[in-house]
Amino acid sequence: MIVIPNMLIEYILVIGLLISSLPLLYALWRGPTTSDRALVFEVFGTMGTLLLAILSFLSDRSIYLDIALLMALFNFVGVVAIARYLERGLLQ
Amino acid sequence: MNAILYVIIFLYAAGLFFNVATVVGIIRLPDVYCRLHSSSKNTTLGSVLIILGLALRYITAGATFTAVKLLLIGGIIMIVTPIGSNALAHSAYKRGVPLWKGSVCDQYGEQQKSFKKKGTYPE
Repeated sequence: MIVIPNMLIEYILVIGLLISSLPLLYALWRGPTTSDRALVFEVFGTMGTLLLAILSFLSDRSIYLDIALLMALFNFVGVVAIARYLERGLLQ
Repeated sequence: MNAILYVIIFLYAAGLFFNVATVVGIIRLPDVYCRLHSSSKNTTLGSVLIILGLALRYITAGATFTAVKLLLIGGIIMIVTPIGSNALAHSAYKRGVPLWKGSVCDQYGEQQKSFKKKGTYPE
């Protein structure tokens, strides 16, 4: 029978996500083409959504979940806008 | 109660594993398309697993409506991430980002060539 403190696993999860998102900064700096950087941007957005969802549990405020929802949607809109701009240019 | 906690820990560990696999794939793979292959699937699965764990955590804490809201976020991520990755891959190919030298097949390019030979251009 293991006794786990109340929110320890969430803290471990947050630390793991933050540490694992550090090498993405290197990928963002390196990425040879713009498409690589847009890809890293998308992964950052999804990780930010996850971190906001965990933060809403840690701080016990469910209003952060709405912000996470909006962040997922606007991440999608941003990625599609970048992809469309890269494909066809600013006009058309 | 304790069994649910073990399930939650398993879901968190699996989600963290898939997120770390995303980062390793993005760092190690040689090409835009290979990196998209790594990022889209792994990010979707890892995020949905972590969100399922959080929803179970909310349910055991007694807030069911918030868990429903979390499941809505998970569904949106499941729909949205593959669409964005598909648009990125399409735009990268149309823009002329070169394939990796070790790539073995390019079915999209061959299909476009055959369309050009026939004289029809389906978008």
